[in-house]
Amino acid sequence: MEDNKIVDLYWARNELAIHESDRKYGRMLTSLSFSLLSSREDAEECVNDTYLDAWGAMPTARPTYLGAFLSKITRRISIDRFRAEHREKRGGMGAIVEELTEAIPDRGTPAEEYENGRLAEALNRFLRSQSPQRRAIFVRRYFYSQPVSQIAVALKLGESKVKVTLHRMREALRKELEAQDLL
Amino acid sequence: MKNQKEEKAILLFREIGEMDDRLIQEAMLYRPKTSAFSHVLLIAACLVFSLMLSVGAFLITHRNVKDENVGHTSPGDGSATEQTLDAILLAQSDAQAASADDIEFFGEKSYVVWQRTDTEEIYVSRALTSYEVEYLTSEISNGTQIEAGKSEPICRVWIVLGDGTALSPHLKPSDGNVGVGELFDYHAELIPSDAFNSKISDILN
Repeated sequence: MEDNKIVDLYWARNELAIHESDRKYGRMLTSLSFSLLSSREDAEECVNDTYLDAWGAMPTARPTYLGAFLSKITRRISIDRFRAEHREKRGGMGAIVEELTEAIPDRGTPAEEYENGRLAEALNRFLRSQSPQRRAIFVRRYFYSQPVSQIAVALKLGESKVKVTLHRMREALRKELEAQDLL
Repeated sequence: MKNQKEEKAILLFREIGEMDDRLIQEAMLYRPKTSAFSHVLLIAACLVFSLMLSVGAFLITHRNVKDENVGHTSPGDGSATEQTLDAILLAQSDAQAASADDIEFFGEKSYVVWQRTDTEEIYVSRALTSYEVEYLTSEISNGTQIEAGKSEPICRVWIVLGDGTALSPHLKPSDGNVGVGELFDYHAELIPSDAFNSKISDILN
């Protein structure tokens, strides 16, 4: 079923909306949540919470890209759950956050830019300046938290190419954030 | 300083979650383009293959050879390739049936797993090499669409990648078609390519 038809079901308060969302995006959302939480049960709960959240958000919201809309909710819920449960830092989200410290400039000042959306804007600008392939690699790794091996298969690249690209993008992002005095 | 950096990395990680929906959508739909050179190679390979077929047919006709051993597939029914994959899997008479609980989804090793829909029995291949995994997963996108009304294959097939994910050669390789930690049920959309079937045959034999 097409996204706009599923959104119509949400707006019509038809519970089939949840069934259709799950059919189309359930596996992707579970995979996203699982990569952050490393627990299948937790991931399934987060995906169920995602549908509830989406049910609550519509009819006010009318997302154009339902997959991205649901993914954002799943990601937010999963991060909250991860932080609440203080899982070990080596697996799941901890490993990804560790990678992202490379994109943080060495400055001691507290960062609150994210609160007024400056950081999100800078990120969008940074990504728009990258090639589609580099964007795809970055989004898959840092938005969907996909393993490097999975990205390599999906984009028909070698794992080392994916790793090198991510390393260069973190470097470029750090310079960009430094230049804009963010973080 | 390290803690502060980590805290900021978490902020950055959260903010990545607020990026433009369009960028997320575009990134997930992004597929690498096949180069013009690859197209030329493909066309050349098709021409060579056609030529070989023509020569083969000519020789067979003129030698009046009758092959009594053909019989696994019915040529011309449009589903020979799919029957071949089923035939390859159903021919594994020595394979030991496994339980779904035996499958190590997170054991870092990859396997081909198939299930007979008639008996519900599950079978697992030997561990795949990284080359085999790369070959099989890349071949999934070369499958052809199953025509409407065609019957489902007898065997459900998955490639379990060892990081928890499972893909099926019968489904288009999109992110919605990835299972996590389970052998998901599905309706077949694709007939796997001959190259895929041939590699499966190599692996199992």
